[in-house]
Amino acid sequence: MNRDAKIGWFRLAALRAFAFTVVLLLIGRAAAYEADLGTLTRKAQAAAVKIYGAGGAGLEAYQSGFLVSPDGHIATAWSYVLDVQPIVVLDDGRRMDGTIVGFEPELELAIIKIEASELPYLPLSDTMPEIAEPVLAVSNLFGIASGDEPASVMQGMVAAVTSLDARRGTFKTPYSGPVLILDLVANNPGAAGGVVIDTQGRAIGMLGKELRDASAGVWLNYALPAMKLRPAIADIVAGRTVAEQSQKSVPLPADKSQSLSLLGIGLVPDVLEVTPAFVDRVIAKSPAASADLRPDDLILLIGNTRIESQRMLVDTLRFLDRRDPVVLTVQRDSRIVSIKIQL
Amino acid sequence: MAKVFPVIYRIVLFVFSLLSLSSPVSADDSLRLLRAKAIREAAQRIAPSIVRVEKFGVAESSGEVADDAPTVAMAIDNQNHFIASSLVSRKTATSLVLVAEDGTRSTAKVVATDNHRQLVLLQSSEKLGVPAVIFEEAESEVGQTVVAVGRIAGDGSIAVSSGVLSAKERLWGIALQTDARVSSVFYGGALINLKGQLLGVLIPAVPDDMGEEATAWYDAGVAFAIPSAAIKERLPLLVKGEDVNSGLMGIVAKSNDPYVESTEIAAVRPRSPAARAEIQSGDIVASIDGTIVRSHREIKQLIGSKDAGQDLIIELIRKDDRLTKTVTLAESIPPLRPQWIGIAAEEQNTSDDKEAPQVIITGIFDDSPAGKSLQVGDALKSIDGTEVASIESLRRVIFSADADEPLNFRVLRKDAAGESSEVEVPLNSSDMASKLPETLPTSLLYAADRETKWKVAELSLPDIANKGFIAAPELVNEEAAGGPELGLLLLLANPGDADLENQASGWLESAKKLGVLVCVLSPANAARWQPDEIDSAGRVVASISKRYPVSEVMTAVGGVSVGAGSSMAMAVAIGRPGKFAGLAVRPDVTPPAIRLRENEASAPLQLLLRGATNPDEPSWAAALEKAGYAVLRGNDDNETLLRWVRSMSRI
Repeated sequence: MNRDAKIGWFRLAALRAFAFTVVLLLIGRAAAYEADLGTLTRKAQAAAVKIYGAGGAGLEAYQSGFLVSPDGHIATAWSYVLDVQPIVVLDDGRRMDGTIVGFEPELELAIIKIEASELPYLPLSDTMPEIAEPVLAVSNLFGIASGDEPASVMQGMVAAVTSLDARRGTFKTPYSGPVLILDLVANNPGAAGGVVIDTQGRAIGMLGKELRDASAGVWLNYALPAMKLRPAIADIVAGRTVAEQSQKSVPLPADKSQSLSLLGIGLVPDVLEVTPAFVDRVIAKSPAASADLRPDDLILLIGNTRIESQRMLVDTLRFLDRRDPVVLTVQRDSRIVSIKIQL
Repeated sequence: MAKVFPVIYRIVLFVFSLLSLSSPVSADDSLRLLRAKAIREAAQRIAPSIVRVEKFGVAESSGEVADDAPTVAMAIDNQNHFIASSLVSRKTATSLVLVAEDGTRSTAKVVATDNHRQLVLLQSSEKLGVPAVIFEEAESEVGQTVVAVGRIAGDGSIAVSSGVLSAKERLWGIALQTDARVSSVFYGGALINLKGQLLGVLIPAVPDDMGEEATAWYDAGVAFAIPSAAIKERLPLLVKGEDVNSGLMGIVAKSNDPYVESTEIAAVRPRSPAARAEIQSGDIVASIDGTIVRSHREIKQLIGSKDAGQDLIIELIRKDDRLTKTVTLAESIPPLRPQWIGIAAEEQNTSDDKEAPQVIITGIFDDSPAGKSLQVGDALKSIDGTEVASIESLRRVIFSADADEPLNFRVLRKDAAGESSEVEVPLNSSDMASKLPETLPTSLLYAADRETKWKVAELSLPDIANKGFIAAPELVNEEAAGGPELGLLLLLANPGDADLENQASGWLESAKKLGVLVCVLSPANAARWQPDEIDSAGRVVASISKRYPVSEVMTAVGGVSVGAGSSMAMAVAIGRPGKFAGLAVRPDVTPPAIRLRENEASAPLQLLLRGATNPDEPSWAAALEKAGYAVLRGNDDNETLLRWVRSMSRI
């Protein structure tokens, strides 16, 4: 056979096969995309549970949760709903009494145990997702599903990965800690404790309680990252600890904390509801004077904490140990100046 | 050498076969992840230009979204200029600070404001080393994927929200619309396409006639962005420190329904750009900047995207002529000073059915401009050469007239012998606010059958939770009442007011005497009036109008006494133009926190300050007068109030 012809035949066949494969690949991919979503959804719904407990006076008596072990451990949000022994309704409609076996107040996480085995559960992701990561949120928001009806699913993505921290002025909320901000309207009554999964069906977060950001006034759509929940869940499931109320930051005793008089700072009279922290006088030879703080400086930040008013300045100082330096960011005319005051 | 080809193809084939056989395909390959990657990369392309805006020292804020809410801004050049949403300057702050991605801070000041598009140009006092966004021609098709990019306050992480481009030329021609969930950390940020190209700058906005806070629709699936091309065009002005404002023309539509297929101009506002361009009442607008228009809504849409100082070319039809005028739009028009001449009129069909109805004078007010020169029975033919086609258009021409310019009336008048002849009557209008009529001409008096019984009845309002009692003629078999036209006064009770029925009974006698229905309405909630009840008041009026012959121009709202009811009445009357023709409150009422819009000649509102004597009080009355509202002062008794309601039909 002519060698050239042979090559020609091969090339043609290869091209044909190539084109055919590409077509197959595209069809396969589109179909798989649908199948993927369907499978993922069912998988997440199967592990989602409806939780009923205390409520009343405008508060809903229900929330959501999801199974984190085959033996009936359920992760959910720690809330007033759990003030009574909760009733858990599984995806298959089974109704069971739940026992609270542990909670982690800082993450607002509670673990409920039910007496059952070989249950479908969701593995917890051990990495932080990136922004724009596609997610599904599964919860019983507004209590729409009951009995063996599957929980509600919402589609969206991770809008931001950040940390709620009242003292740094990120979002002024009662909860502070890491969060996934979600690009979907997820946090509605009953959604707390719902699960957020990634494209591989791993739980990457748990929907938190309804939360309003006090600095902007807006409601937040967020989830607590699974990566942060994992250690606490593992401990509780293994029966190692039942977390106690952890050390929330509290003001230091007056003889240990920082204060304006100690630093040598006098502010303008506090006459408004929100009086800006303008320096009126700096006591001669005081720590503030040695650090070159000057009258008319406007105090904007202490460390990373945004100072919105004189009251907030005084409050913030009460949390600082007087042995540590105070780092101020001030505005002097139109310049931003950083000042470190050491007692 | 040639032998290499098949080998390569075989390898390629093998790899592809593997991919296609691994079913389901691995999640990494899914379209969702590809889309996520595209969104992430697009966002990261523009993110370096986005800085955070911090406001310090803002006094307590109103609204759901705080006035010192953290927002963002974008660098637009290397001269330290940033574009941001005007939310940053809405309330005075002691200090505005920009924060770059690396945490560097600089103070900033407002260089100029685009009031039309709700943007501000900021300049930082120090270099932040932030790259400028690129204003490039970018694909933007309705339906395409778009991404909103902002920054979270505090740690400054990037925030994204994706959606589709829902519409263009929203908010009267100025904005793109998207369903991305946009809240404060996105305001001033970028709306981009999947290539990372800037389509627009995100702003908080709510359409004007919704009367809500600009931020009320955060995260609502309806968000707006100002297109980058419009911003680029105006940057040179803004950098020079010149503010940009929306352009006004000063024409008054003939119908108060902007959708009606008519572009006739009923009146031209005195000293407005339209007046300077010698546009006249009666002109019909054929096109604007070459675009043919069929309704006043279309005219408004075309003017909507223009700024003050910009020209537009307007083509008019005047009688048999076609005229082209260039109008330079203005930032403001001298406020309306509502005018009257002091007549009551009605439309009468002529004997020849084909002709338009005639507008006949039925009454003349004492001591009014018309008193000496017009007569009862006169048929108004034309004013300044423009035909008087209806009472509605007559009302508008007079309302927005200029007191210094005489109006030339042509009227058809019968003499003692019954002979009709046309006469010219020159007449100057006067300020409506200068006089509250003390008496009504006979034709406006209520002349119902004295046998008609009036009583107080409970209103049944199936779709709202408010309760109401109405002093009105007794309905026979619940059938709609006929008879002469009635006025309507809706009085909003204060939260917690007991015994509305008794309150309504107190009005019964004067209501019957003057022919004005009086309805006392309670809030849905015993604790307070809520903003969404603004529309309930309109619904109550609609439901009453179904049963009684209520005249639209004799419909007023007020509060039963000083308190939340009166404040709510102000919110209702000013917030929803066209629903009420009059507003009656006492001068010591607390004005509600609503946007004060200019009074419109096409849907005018007049105010009666009950029991006000001092012309300098209350302090807010001046602001209302400046916005073109007629503010009248009168006694605080029931009859004065109801006589005013009936007099509202005066022209």
